[in-house]
This record gives sequence, C-alpha cells and structure tokens, in this order.
Amino acid sequence: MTTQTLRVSRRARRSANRSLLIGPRLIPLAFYTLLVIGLFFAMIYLRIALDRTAFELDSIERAITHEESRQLDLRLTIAELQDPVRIATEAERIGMTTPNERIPIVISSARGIAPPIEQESPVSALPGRRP
Amino acid sequence: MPVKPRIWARGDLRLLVVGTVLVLAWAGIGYRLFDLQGTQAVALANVGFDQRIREEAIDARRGTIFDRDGIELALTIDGWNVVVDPSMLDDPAAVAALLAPFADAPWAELEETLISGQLDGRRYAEIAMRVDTERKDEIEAVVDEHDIAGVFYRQQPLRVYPARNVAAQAIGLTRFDDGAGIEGLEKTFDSELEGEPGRLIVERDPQGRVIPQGQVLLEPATPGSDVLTTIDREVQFAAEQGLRKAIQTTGARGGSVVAIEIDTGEILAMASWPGLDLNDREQVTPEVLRNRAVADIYEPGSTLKAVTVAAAIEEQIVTPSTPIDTPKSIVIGDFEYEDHGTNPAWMPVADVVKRSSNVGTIEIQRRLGDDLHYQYLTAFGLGAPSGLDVAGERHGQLNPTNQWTQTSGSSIAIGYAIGTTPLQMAAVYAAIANDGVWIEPHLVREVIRPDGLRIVTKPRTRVVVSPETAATMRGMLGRVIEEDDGTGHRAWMSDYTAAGKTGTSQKFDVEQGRYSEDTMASFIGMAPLDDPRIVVVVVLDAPHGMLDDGTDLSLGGASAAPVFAEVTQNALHQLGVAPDRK
Repeated sequence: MTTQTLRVSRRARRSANRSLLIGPRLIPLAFYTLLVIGLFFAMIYLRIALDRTAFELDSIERAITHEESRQLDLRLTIAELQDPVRIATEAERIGMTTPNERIPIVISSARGIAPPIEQESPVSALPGRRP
Repeated sequence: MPVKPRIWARGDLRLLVVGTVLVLAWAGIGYRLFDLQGTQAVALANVGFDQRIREEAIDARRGTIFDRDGIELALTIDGWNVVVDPSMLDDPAAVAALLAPFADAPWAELEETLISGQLDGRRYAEIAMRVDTERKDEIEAVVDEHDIAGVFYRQQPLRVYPARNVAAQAIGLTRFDDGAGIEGLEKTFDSELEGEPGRLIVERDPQGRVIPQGQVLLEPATPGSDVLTTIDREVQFAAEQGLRKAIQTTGARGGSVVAIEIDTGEILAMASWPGLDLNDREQVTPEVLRNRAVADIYEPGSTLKAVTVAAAIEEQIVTPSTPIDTPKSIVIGDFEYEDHGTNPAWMPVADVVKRSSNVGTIEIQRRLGDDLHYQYLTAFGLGAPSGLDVAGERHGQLNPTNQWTQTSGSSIAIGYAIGTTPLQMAAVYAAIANDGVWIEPHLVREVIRPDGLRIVTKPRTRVVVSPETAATMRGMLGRVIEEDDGTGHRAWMSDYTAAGKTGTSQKFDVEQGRYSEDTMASFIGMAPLDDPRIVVVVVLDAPHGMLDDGTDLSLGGASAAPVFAEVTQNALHQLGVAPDRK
C-alpha cells in the first residue's frame, strides 16, 4: 500500500513537474510574442508620427513661403504708398497747395536760449474758439 | 485472391495534376518573385525611383533696386500664371464667364479659346499671366467655390516698379519672359541682380505630392544682390514735374533733367521726357525708354563757354577783368560768328560770360589755343563716357586736334562742333562747383550681396582747375543769374543764390545737311552760390513759342532757366539746405 502510494506520488510528481516546466516555457514565449507585436505597432506608430511631422514640416514650409510672399506684397504696398506721384495727386485732391510765402524760422545756438516757459493758453485762444 | 491495390486511382491522378499545376504555379510565382526581388531588384528600384523623382529648378529671386533712402524702386514679388486644361472642363462657356473678370483676354475671346480648345483637344489655355498673389487668391476662391477642375497655378516671379514712372529710364526694364535686364540699371547690373538658380530633387507620389521621408536634395537658389542707387525720389519727382511743365509750356519734343550732388558725384535725379510707367508694358517703346540724359548727344551751345573761359583763367591767359574786343561779328575761315543782341565794342571777361558773347569767347579761345583747349575739354570729361554705371551712355563727340579744321576751335569754344550728353555737362559744372575737382558721376552707391557684403562705388576723381579758378568761375556764373541783365536771370530763386549758364544751339538737320530753326535750349547751374550742394542741368529739345513779354521760348534762358529754378529750389528744400538768400 505504501509502495503503491509512493508510485502514484512519483507519477503525480512527474506530471506536476512537467506542467511546471511547460508553464515557464510559455511565459517567455508569450512575452516575446507580445514584445514583437508591441514593437511592430510601435514601429508603425513611429513611422506615422514621423510622417505626420514631415507633413507638418511641409505645411510650415508652405506657410513660411506664403508669409514671405505676403511680406513682399506688403513691401510693395508700402513703396507704392510712398510714391511721390500718388502723394502729390492725393494732396491736390484734398486741396493742398504749395505755400506762396515761406517763413524761415531762425534758431540761434541752443546754448544762448533760455528754456521754454510753459504757458497755458486761454481756452478762448485755442483754434475753433475764436469768434 | 488478393486484389493488388491501384497505385494511381482516378482521383489520385487528378490530385497529382492539380498538385503539379499548383506546384508549377507557385514555382513560377516564386521564380518571378526571385527574379523581381533578386535579379532585377536594383534595376527596377532605379526605374521606380526615376518615376518618382522630380528635378525642379528653383528661380533665384532677383535683387531689389532701392533709392538712396532704401525705398524700393524695383522689386520682385511672387507672381502667378493661371492656366486651364480645356479638356478637363465640364462647361467651358460657364468657366469662361466665371473667370472672365480675372482674365487677360476679353470674355468673348476667352470663351472662344476654351470652347475651341476643348473641341481641338488642346490641354493648355492662358487665363491670367503674371498676376500677384492677391489676384491669384481671388481666382482660386472662385475656382474652389464652383468646384472647377482643370485650373492650374504656376509660380512666376513678377518684377514690379512701385514708383511707376519715377526715374523709369534710369531704372530700366526686365524682359517679360525670362526676367533678364534689358535697359537701364536693370541691364547694367543684370549679373548682380539675377542671382544663381538652385534645384530641388524630390520624390513625389503619382498625385505630385512630396513623399515624406523620401529622397530630397536641395541646392538652394542664391538670391540676387540688391542695388542701392543714389536717386532721391523726391528730387527725381521734382525734376520730372518741372520737366513736364516745361514741355507743356514750350511744346518741346522732349527733354531731360540731371541733378548731381557736388561733393560725391552722386546722381540725385535723372529725368527724361517722354516718360513711361514701367508697370505698363504697352507703353514701352524705344522712344520713351531712351534715357535722354545719357543717350542723346547734343551741341551744348553757350553752356560750354564755361570750359573755354575756365581754361584761359587757369592758364593765366585772362582774368575776369581782362578786356576782350567784342565786335558784332568775327570771320574765321569762311564762317562768320556773331553775337545775339547788341553788345559794347569791348567787355571784360566777366561780362563776356554774363552776356554770353560768342565773339568774346572765340577771342578768348584764340588766345588759349587749340591744344590747351582740347586738353581742358578732355580733362572735364568730354568725349568719353562720364558715368561708370549708367547703361547706354554715349561717348559724345570730340575729335582730336589733328582732325580739327580752321573753325573747329572757335565753334567748340561756343558749344558747336562738339557732341555732349546732359550728364557730361552736369559733370563739367559739378567740377567747377567742387573747387575744380571732377568726380565721376554715378547712379549706384552700393551693391549689397546676399551675404551682406557691401560693394561701395568708388568714383574716379581728378583735379581739372585750381580752387581759385573754380571760385572765380562761380563768381562770374553767379552774375548770369543774380544780375538783372544776365542771360540766365530767369533762373533766379527766391530762397537760394545760384550760378549758372544758359545755352541755345541750333539743331543740325542730318537729312538737310544744315542747321535747322529748331534749337536745343539748356541751362546748367549750381546752388547755393557760396557753398554749392547740387548742379542741375535742364535740356529741352526744340522748345518754341513766345511768352507774353515777347521772350522767345526757343532760348535756353527763357525756357530752361525757369525749370532749373523750380527743380533746384525744390531739391534744396528736400535736402534740407537752409535758404541763403537774405
């Protein structure tokens, strides 16, 4: 009886040992499988991320080109606004004329001039207040 | 009896056949795969790469031309060519109606182009060429709104001139198709302005999109250098306004005005009439594009007397008070020279200048001699191009003395038998104003390379006469304007004193082989008198008519002198020069 029990126990132990051996063998396999799958998806993700960045860069480059173009257009506009022909025409249109009389303002040496005295003009002397 | 089992049953044979076929098929596929991926892999990869790869030229942005204050006179912006593939249009007539407001051609012509283009199978039709980005965006909005297929936009640099007709002939023009400079500064500095084109090699998908992470090789374009001119837009505007008014008043065929800063030889203004708007290509003709200030040769008339007298004073042959016989006329060879108006029997040299006596000046020239006279003419820059960077400048005409006839010296003394340009004459008077130092006039102050390197213009200089002689000449020329009986009194200015000389020469009619009644009327002067800042030359081609007081407008003192006064006074105000007239 004792011997039988011992035999059974040995079988069971062997069986249990076998199952114990299979368990540790599957775990690394599963781990590596998951790792490979994970790496695969990570690679895909990285690739997509790189592509997205490349598209963003392309978009930024287009935006830079567009802004550079706009800057040139604005430079052109500024230059056109400073065109003396345009300014003269506009001045004539709003009724400006060259003054007939020139009044020279002679400023002597700054050293000899006393600092200006602030004076408050009477309200009646301001433009538009005079009768 | 045991039955011997059949090795090949009917079904087994079918299996064998199918299996063989499958094996052969897979083997064929395998071979093909091996062939494509192995044997031909490199060659096919190269073919595919060649299909995806595109080489694109990158246009170099043309440099900008600035005035002396850094304001753009010529600028390249992004332009666009808008074109259509008629074969892709669903309804050409409808598309023509939508795009007509933006098109270069009228609506009916555009409609005809698109319809006939579709019928003929043409795949290209121009809608609007060289439009700016704003215009292109407007077109694109309409195209997107109506979902029109077959409209394409191609970037095309667009050269624009913000100042339009200001200094048009001096700035010049680029060719419409390839953008090369063909006139003016655009031509002279074309190699600096154009830059180096680059190239882009890039992988694109069948839709033409750039493949991310694809192969890219970029050789960037090097933009052209910028050119900083010496032109002052305000002075230029004043010169053009003055010239325009003079043309209207006198009915002259054309004219030119040049203003030079004396200390530096920088050309502040260079105006020609008729003018043009550089942005309007339809206006461009050789006549309006000609820079008369450097391309027109004329006989300067009495304005050249200053050279004769300055040479004689420098050589101590005469002084301002030396008496000179001034009979009504003088005969040299078979030619009789006479004075305009009535003069006393003799005059001091100063009065010879003030009253612009031909006879008196010829007498001074005869004392000077042809060789010395010629030396001074060349020293003052006559007979050779005077501007180092002005396109199309002509040499003028000054023969060496061994080709002179008996009358050459006398004729040249009073401004005949010699051909000069207005710019050359401006340089002559600038030398007198600059204490006798001739400075090469120039239109460009700096060329600024893309890397920031600035190449500064260094004009040639030379001493022609002494400061004393120059001051004496300025004093005598001052009387021409400042005294009431001076021939140039109409150049008198309310704010500034000035010195100058009138000039009137009859035009030589080449077809008739003789001098005509038309004149070249000119005035050259400098201001302020005590410390000259600028020299202004005014030349009018064939002015005519009379003023109310009976003054003949064909004379330089009547037609050109007032223009000098107007332009000079405006220019000095612009330059911030304090009025010196008490």
